[in-house]
Amino acid sequence: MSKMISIKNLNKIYKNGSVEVHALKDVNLEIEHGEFIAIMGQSGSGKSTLMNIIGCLDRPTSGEYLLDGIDISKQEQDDLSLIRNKKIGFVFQAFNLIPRTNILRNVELPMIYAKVKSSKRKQRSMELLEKVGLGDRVNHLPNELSGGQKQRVAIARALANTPPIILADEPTGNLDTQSSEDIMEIFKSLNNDGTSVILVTHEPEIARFADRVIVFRDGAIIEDSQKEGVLK
Amino acid sequence: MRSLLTMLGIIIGISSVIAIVSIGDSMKGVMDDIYKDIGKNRAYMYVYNIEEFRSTDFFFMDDLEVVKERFGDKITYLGPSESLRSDVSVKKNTVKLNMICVDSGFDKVQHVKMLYGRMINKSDVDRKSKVIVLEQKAALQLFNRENATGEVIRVKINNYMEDLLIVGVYKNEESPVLSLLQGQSPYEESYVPYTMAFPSNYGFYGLDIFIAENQPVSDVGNEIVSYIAKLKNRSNENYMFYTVEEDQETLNGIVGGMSIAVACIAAISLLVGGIGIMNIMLVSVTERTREIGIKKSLGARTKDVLFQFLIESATLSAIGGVVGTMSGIGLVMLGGSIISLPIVVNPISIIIAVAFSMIIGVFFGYYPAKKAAKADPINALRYE
Ligand SMILES: Nc1ncnc2c1ncn2[C@@H]1O[C@H](COP(=O)(O)OP(=O)(O)OP(=O)(O)O)[C@@H](O)[C@H]1O
Ligand SMILES: [Mg+2]
Repeated sequence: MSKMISIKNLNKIYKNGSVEVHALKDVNLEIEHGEFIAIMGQSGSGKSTLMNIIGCLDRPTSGEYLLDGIDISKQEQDDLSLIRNKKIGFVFQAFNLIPRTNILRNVELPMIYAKVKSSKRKQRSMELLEKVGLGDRVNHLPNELSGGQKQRVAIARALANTPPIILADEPTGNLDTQSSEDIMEIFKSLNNDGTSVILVTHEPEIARFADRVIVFRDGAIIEDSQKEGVLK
Repeated sequence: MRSLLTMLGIIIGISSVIAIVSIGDSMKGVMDDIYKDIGKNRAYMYVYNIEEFRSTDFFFMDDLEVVKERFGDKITYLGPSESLRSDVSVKKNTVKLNMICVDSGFDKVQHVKMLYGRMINKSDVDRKSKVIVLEQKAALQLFNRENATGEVIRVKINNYMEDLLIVGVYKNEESPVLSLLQGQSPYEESYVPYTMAFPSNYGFYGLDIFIAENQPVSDVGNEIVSYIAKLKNRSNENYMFYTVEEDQETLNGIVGGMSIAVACIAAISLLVGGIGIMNIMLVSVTERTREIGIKKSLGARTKDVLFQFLIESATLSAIGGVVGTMSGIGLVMLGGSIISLPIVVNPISIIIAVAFSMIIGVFFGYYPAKKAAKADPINALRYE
């Protein structure tokens, strides 16, 4: 069976006029189905850049990225939309809920793009919101929720099309300890059900939930260890 | 609030289109009514463009008979175009009376609604009877009742006082708009036999002619002109033939021209409205760049985003169209009620107006929507 994610000699160079930032330098990485990975490293080390490329939101400058055997660099924008829709659920630090749109509708969105029937969409959204403990808030607007609640909506939305991969870039960055704990418990149980989770974090307590920790510095992987390795 | 301002252009454009179209329709309807009142196949003929008149240039009673004879079925009525005015008093009541001098058969070509008695008939004309048919308002003012038949009134005709027997009372049913256009006349109407009102050797200046329904009005007119010119030893240019039909065409032309002018203004305001829509959509696309990024990250394709924004701009301008339609109708209704013009609003023009404003929305919304749809997901997500 092929690897879920296979990255070879990946480079990302940002050009801003004459200034060039080499954000990823010859990154090689393989990820299997069902892994729970924490990516760590200093600010500016390239963690988010890698996450965006894995999530098919951005393209590498050079190198190869295969997702389930598909060469992502050869795909059109609309094909990438389809891949994101089917395979990837995003959870961002800034929650990224659609404002002025109730949370039920927010959770429905990925299913609308997947052309799921309206009645089925509603039912699944309700189930997901109940699962994250917000079954009684479906008609609320995002700005009426706390940070932890918003992030739970974002997770529910990420799960809408049951993607095999969840990408979470500092999902607990804006949350207090208790909320962070709750969110991580949700990720843990998702992973137990077989979903791959890749998350970026600065906090060792958060990274402790993962089975594998990858550490970045200056755009390169300096450490890649299975559980019990890095944790002091 | 901002969207309302944006829609203003569309609202003004659409409401002026609706207003113009319904004013045009209403005017046409009114004009048709007016010309029906006057008589569609009615024509006037008069002596024209003569430097030195000869007494024979005018129309004599004998001439009328000759023309009637000659043109037979082609004309349904021929009489002098004359009326006389006189004050009439009965006891303390005084009325200014306008006496229209008619031949018999006038009521066959023009609708005259008799309330009491009868209209001027052939024997009145043949015998030069001293009779009169009053409009009901004149009867009411003179005798305090409508049925004044059998009464006698004293009027001045050609400087002689004459006693006329009222043989009928009718009701003037002309359209309110025509009366409005003619203004408030101090004179009340009536009909008298023309043979009684003028001496038999009198030369009339103008003729009132009704052409038969199935005849081409202007052709018959030209024939009559040629015939009379020959009779009078004059050239065709010395007689003028004027038809109500031509008149109507000219007026319709003026209304049409006005409509085109105002339609141009409306088109410009629609264009401005469309640009307004484009502007607000561009602003909205920029403001919602992040939202577009989020949607793309969730799997929205180019066309999903495109449609979202197209539907938004179409909705925006369709609302503008609906509001514009309503305010346009309201405006016309208001104006119509002030000048008591019956308003015609064509439902098709409403449908077209709203559909058209949606098309404007789609057309001017396309560029902003395309811009939104093409947004690169990662840049859109990073947008602050
Ligand atoms: N759009 C961009 N244009 C130019 N440079 C960029 C852009 N995005 C990121 N960079 C640069 O690339 C490098 C890696 O950035 P990245 O966002 O991946 O860091 P990070 O590891 O996620 O940091 P943090 O922990 O602060 O989120 C940084 O030096 C950053 O300044
Ligand atoms: Mg980052």
